[in-house]
Amino acid sequence: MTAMFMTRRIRPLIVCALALAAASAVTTLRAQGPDRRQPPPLGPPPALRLPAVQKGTLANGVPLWLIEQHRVPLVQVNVLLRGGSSLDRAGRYGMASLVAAMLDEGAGSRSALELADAVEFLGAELSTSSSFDYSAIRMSSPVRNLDAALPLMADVLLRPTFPANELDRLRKERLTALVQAQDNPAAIIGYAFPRVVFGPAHRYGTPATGLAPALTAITPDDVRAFYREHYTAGHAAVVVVGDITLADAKARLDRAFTGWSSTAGAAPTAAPIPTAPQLTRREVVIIDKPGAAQSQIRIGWVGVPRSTGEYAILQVLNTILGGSFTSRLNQNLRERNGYTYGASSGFDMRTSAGPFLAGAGVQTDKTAEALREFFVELDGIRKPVPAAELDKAKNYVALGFPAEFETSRDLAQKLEEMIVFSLPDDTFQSFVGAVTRVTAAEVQQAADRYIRGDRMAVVVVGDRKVIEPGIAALKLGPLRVVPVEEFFK
Amino acid sequence: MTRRWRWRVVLATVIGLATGVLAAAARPPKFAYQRVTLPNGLVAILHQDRSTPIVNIQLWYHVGSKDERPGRTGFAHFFEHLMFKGSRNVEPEQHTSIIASVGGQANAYTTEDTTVFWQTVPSQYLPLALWMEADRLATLRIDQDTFVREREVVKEERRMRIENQPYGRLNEIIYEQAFTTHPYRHPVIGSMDDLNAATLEDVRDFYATYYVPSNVTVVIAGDFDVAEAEGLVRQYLGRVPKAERAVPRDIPREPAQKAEKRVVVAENVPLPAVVVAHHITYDGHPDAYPLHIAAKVLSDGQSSRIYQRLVYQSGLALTAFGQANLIEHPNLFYAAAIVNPGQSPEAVEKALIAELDRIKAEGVSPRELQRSKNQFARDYILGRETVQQKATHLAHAEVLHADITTADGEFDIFQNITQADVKRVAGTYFTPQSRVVIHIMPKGGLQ
Repeated sequence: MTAMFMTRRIRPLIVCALALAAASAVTTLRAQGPDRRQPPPLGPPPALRLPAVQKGTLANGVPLWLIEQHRVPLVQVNVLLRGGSSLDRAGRYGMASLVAAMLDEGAGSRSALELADAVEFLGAELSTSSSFDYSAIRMSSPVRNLDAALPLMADVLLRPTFPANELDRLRKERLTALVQAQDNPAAIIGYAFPRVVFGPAHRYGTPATGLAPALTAITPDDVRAFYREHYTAGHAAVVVVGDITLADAKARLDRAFTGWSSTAGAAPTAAPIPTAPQLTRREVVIIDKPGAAQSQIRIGWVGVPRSTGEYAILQVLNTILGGSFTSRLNQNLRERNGYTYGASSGFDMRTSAGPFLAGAGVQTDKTAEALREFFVELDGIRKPVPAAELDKAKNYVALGFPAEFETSRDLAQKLEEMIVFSLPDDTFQSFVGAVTRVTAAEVQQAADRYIRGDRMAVVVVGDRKVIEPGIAALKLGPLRVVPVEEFFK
Repeated sequence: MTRRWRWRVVLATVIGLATGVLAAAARPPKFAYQRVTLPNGLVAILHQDRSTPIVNIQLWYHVGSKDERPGRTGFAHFFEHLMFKGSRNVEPEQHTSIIASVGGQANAYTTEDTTVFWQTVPSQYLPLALWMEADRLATLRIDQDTFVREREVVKEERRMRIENQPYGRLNEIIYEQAFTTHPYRHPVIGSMDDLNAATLEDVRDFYATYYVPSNVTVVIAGDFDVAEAEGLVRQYLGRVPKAERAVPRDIPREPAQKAEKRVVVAENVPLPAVVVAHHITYDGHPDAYPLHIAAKVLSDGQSSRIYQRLVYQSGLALTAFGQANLIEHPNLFYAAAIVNPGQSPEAVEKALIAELDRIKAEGVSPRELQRSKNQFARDYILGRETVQQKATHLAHAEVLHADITTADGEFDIFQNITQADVKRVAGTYFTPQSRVVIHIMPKGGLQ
C-alpha cells in the first residue's frame, strides 16, 4: 500500500525566499486564460486553540500530565525518567541507552519475543528509548485494550529481567552497527563532529549509544545497578494523551504501577552536565574516505541549552539561516549552485548547551566551493536582516505552530518537552506572541553571539585526495587529517 | 453482519482469550467526503475535518517512473523538481517560499506510479495554494539554466540516497534482477546517464502528455467550508484547459517468470546480504490483502518469523526484514537478510526459503492472524490521524484503486481475511519458479 518514494525536500523544513528575478529566456509551456494574474487575498490567521493540560499525581507521588483527545479511540501513555545519557559515568558512555533498550528484552514472566507478541496482539505499540536528557517508555494502545496493555508496560518499567543472552545480542548488534558506520560517510560525520566540538571527555562528545570500549565493558550487573539507581519514582513523570479522563487514567495507572516505590525521600536528580568550553578558533578536520560519492560537511560549535531566554529569537534566526527549505543556506547551496540536495542548520538544544551546526552532503568536486558558500552565509547572518525576510521567517515560525499540535503523539511530545526542560506553564501559549515581537536588532545580536563562523569547527568526511587541495587553499585555519578509527575509540 | 459473525468464529479459536478483551478492533468512523469531476476531467475530493485550523491540499498526477521512456529513467522524479521552478504568475521557487511565509509546509514525491505535490497551510490560505497549483498545472516555465542546475540537485539526491549508503543499491539490485521488461526494473531516481541525457524538449513533451487536468486528482482535507472549497477548485483548477489527447497507458507487461533465477553480485558492502524475492500481484487485487498478512507474519518487526529465526534463534543474520511491495502493477515480495560475520550466505538463503515454505505448508496460526489484524487496525487508526494522512488515503484509493470506497473499505476486507486465504496466496505466489535469489557479496571478498 505504500510505495517506495523519493521526497524532493530536505527534512529541516521551509522559509524566507530571496525573490529571485525571473530568468530571461523563459518558455511558457502552455497558453492559459488570465484568471490567475493576481494571487487571492489573504484572510487573517486562525487563532491557536491549545488543548488544556490537566495535572495530577499518582498515588506514589509521580506527576501525571494529561490531555484529553477523543477523536480516535487510542491512548498514548509515556513514562519519562529524567537524566538519560547525561547520567552515564566516564568509561561507561552508552549505558543509559543500553539500559533503556534492554527494558523490553525480557520483563515480568515474559521473554523478549513473548513480550513483543503480547503487545502486538493487543494492537498496541511499546517502545523504549533514551536521549541525552531522559529515557522514556512509550505505549500507544486502543482504549479498550488499555487494561490489558498497562500491565505489560508495568512489567517493562518495574520488572525488567535483563537476560544475559539478550544483553549479549544487543551489544553485538551495536558493535556491528559501529563497524558498519565506519563505511558510511553520513554516519561517520555523526561521530566525528560532536567529538571535535566537545572532545572525548564531555558527554556530548560521544553519541548517546556509546562506542566499542565502553559497550564491551558493560556487564549485566552494571545494567541492573544503573536501572536500580535511576528508574525510581522520584525521577519519573507520566504523560497521557488520548480518549481518557484524568481520573480514569490515574485510577488505571495506580492499579498497574502498584509496588512502584514512592517519591518520598527520593534522591535528587543528578547534577546537570557542565557546559562545554566554547571553541575559540576555527579549525578544519578532514576524514579521508577514498572514493566517497559525496563529501559530508558539518560546521559548528557549542550552542545553547533549551532553557535559553532567547528561544524564540533563535528559532527566527535559524529559520532565516538554515532551518527551512527557503532558508539562505539551502537557497545558496542548492538552488543557486546545485552543490547539494539540501543544506541546513540548527541548534540542538538540550538540558546543557548542545551543538549549533550547519551542514550538507555535497558534490565531491565542489567541496571547497560549498565550504566557501557556507561561510558567506554564516558571516552574512551577522549583518542586519532585511525587514521582509524577517517578517517571512516570523510568519513561518508563528503561523506554522498550530500544526505542531495535530496528533496525540505531537501533543505528548510537547508535554514531554515541558516536563523534561522544566518549561513554564505558558510556554506554548506565549510562543506565538514571543515570535511576533522578535526584532531585527535582536536577531542580529543573537547572530553576533551564537553564529561565529570564524571560531567554529569545520569537519569534512570525503575523498581526501580530491578535496584537500581546494580546502587548504581556502585558508580557513589549521587543518588536520584524522583517520576514521580515531572517532570510534 | 456476516462479518461480525465470522469474527466471533475466529476469536473462539484463539487460545487464551476467555476475557473477551481482545475482540475485534472497533471500526473507526468512515470517511465523509464529496467527489466532483470537473468538465476538464480533473477529479476533486473534499474531506472536512475541523479539529485543527489547517488544511492539506494534495495533487496526485497519475504518472510515475513506470511511465518513463527507455533511456529516460528518473525523468518523472526530475520533472517533479522542475514543477517548483516557476509558472506564468509564480516566480521560480516562489511556491515554496509563499507557502513558508504563511506558516505552511510544501513538498512533493514521486513513486513508480504517481507524482504527488502537497501543502499543509493554515486554513485561510486554501485559495492561495489552489491558485499556485493551478498556475503550475497550466503554465509551467522552464529555461535551460534552471533545467541544468536542478539536474545537479537530483544527481546529488541520488548520490546521497543510493551511492553514499552501504546497501543503498539493495532495491536497485533486486529490481534489475527480478524484472526483465516492465519499467519497475529501474529505480524511481533513475540512472546518472539517463539524467544526463534528458533535454528541455523532453520536459515539454512530458508536461504536455502527463500534466493535464484529466490526469490529476486533487484532494483537500481539513478545516474548510465544503461549498466554498468546491467553488475555489472550479475557479482555479476548473479553468485549466482540457487536454487534446488521452494520457498514454501503453506500459510493457512483465512476462511470467518460468524458472527460478539465481544471481551473485559484488558490491561495496561490509557484509554479504541475501535476498529471496517472489513475483506477486498488484495493489487492489483480492490476493493483495492476504499477501499483506503473509508478509507481516513473515517479515514485519521483531516478532516476525524471519526475524525470530534468523536473528534471534540462529544468529545467522545481523538483521532480516521484508515486505510485499503491492503497487499499481504486479510487483515483488522480498525478504532480505544481512549475513552475520562467520555465517554463510547459503545457510541464510536456506533459512529464508524454509520460512516461505513453512507458510505455504502450514499457513499462519489463529493467533498470528489475529495479531496481524489487530496491528492492522491500529495502523489504520494511527495512519488516519492527520489531515495529510487522510488526504493521502483518499487519493490513493481514487488514483491507484480507481475506487475511492477502498479508502475505508480496506478495514473490513482485512478484518475478514481467513487462515485459508493466507495459505492459498502463499501457495499461489511463493513458488520455486517465481523465485529470485540474490547473493550480494562484498567486493574483494569477505573482510
